Amino acid sequence: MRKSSARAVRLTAAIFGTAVVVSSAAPAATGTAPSAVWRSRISVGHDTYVQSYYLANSDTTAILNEFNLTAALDGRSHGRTDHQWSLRAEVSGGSEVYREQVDAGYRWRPDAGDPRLRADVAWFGRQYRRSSDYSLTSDNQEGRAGLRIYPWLGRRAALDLRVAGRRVDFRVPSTLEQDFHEASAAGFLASRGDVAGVWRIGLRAARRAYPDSTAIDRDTYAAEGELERGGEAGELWIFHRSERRLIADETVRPSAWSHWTEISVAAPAGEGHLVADVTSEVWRYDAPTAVWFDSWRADAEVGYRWGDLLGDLWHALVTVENLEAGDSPEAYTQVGLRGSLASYGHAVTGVVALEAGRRWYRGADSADSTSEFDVLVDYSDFDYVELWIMANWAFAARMSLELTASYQPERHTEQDDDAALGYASARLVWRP
Amino acid sequence: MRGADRLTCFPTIILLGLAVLAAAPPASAQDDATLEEYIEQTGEIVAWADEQVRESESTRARQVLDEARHLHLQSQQLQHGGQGRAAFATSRRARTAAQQAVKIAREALGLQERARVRLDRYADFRDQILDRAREADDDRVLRFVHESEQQALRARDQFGQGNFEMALQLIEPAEDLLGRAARLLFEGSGAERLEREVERTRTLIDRTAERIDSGTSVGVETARDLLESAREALRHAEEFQLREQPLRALHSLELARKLAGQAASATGDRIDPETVADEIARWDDRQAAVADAVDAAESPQAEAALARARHHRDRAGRLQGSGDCAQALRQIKAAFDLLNEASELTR
Repeated sequence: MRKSSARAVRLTAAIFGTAVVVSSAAPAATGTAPSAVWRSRISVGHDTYVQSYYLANSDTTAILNEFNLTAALDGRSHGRTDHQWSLRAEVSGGSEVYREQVDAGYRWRPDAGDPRLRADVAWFGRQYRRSSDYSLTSDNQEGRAGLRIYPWLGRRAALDLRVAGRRVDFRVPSTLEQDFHEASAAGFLASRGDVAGVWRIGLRAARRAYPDSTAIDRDTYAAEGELERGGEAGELWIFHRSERRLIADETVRPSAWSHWTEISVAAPAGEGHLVADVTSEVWRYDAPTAVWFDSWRADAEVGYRWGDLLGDLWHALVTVENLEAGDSPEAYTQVGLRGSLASYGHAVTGVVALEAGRRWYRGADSADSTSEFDVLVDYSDFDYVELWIMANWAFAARMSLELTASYQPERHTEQDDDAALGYASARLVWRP
Repeated sequence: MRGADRLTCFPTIILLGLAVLAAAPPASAQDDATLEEYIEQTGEIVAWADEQVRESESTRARQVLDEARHLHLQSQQLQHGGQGRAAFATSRRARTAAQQAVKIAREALGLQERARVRLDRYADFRDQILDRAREADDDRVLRFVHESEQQALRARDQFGQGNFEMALQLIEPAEDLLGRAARLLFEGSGAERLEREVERTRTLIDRTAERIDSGTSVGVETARDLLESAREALRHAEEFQLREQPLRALHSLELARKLAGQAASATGDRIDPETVADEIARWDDRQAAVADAVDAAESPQAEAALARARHHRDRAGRLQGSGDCAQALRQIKAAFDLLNEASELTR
């Protein structure tokens, strides 16, 4: 075991110990109107990732199994006070990788009202075991820090100014594991107080530098807005972000504009609601290439929702997705049907969703190909099924079982293109 | 043909055959040249694939391309070893693999950008919800947020590993879980809604109590016991309401209604037509007052709620007439709920 792994084991043991000690002290503290609330959590779980695809004349199934033990401690100031804080530490050790996470936050809320200042720091660490089945196994750490101030608070709106920094470091950098530093700033005007109707508009700017690959350094500038309305007459949520990304060396990767829009609507109809979710995503490159091509992807889910949010909630939806990509062979249209049930019980909470459909590719226009080999890129139509299961069973006061599974097979008209993606996770959680 | 002719003809054919073979280039040399050209072009295809795969950060595309390179090298070795047929077959497999690597890489680029934007968006969304969830101090909401964070952590790990499709598949439920937490917070945030729910639960308990008091079955004691628990849950809900913990209040109300329902079932009393008739009469009395208020308020929502309430009341009347008392009672309950809603909307 490497030194970093040994350190992670010691840290895990320390957090386990602290979690148990703090949690056992918590009931006493609760009885005397504590100034802080502490919660701890210990879980043991197993994750499986499956990718099945065709690799040069033979079917390949890549399976990654990960067992891990996690301990977490979550504390925060109790009730409404002027100075609020939160602290969380989480450590997990397992068969593939050790992970550590620490984050802390502070809020200054004069007279326990809206925050006037907010500061957050976070640190994540990962150390891979030497025997890990992960493809990229360079140990890494990531640090983030952010400060927000609210210099003006009106009756219905507040100004929200933010600065943040982020740094990612790999122990052994590689082409796919590159260190970077990022600094960003943002300004928003956002609604306050009225939870039934929320809106926010603002601008963001960020600069990211890759010390080992300066050609892909980038600056991004974005404008975004969000609106949420809810009530007896229905629900509406709109989000839009337009972003300009400037790359240091345009010959390595072209600069681009992107526009991302999401609209979600629900209107009462009969015993339930008519619902529609629409997403649009546009990419426009300054100098498109065969790889970096202009595209417009739009998807919509339209259907009916009925049931009770605090009980059983059903969805029956038609899903449509379309990718316009000029002459690129990637352009497609996809249509499917989705049904789901979300159940929110006191002991059992779960979601089951099933979608089935088909994707049709429109094929490439070889006349506009940039290479004689572009004709070789030809995607085949396929039928797909997507199954999602998530369940949480609180079988005892402080114990629960969390299950998550998904399976997404694709059956192509060209059998060689068949693929499948699967994921399963089971976790036993103890909240002492 | 005669026998002598056959004897002179046979050597002639052999000689002619040998002459033809000598004049034409040897067939194996021609094949070698074609094979060499084929393998060279495979090399160009692998190089073209390499350019495109390098742009993508997909590990799967790189794995498939590595396989293509390996097969290409193997085909060259087979060619040099004089195994032309095997070299050709291997080179063809190298082409297929290179072609597949390009497809995976190009698809991955789109997925990569989408996953990147979704992960960034998730971080923002999570920041907004986490503070509100901590304030609400509701176990269920916090559990949703935590589950969502775990799911997002796996998505980030998969993104870091270059498995963008898997990352997208994992971030969707993470967003969904956060969305559920947000909806629960949103539902719990309406003070008016909570007030209505408290009133609805109190009415249900009172009505059940009236039925139990007039009941004669052996289950009355059990029913009274359950109803006391329902009242206790209602008291808890009111305490949570006062302490500005609306979600906990809603959960307690849900429990109170469930217990009241169990109490009603425990009496074993059949729903008689008189009970339904009483409820319809009570609704008609109340409706007169609410209708005046709705007229005065000129609220389209209140008018719509009142219209729907009348629709349920009419159905209750028809079901009562046909003798289906249980369904009739459900309809009149719905009519009461909508009447309350209409009344609220006039304020």
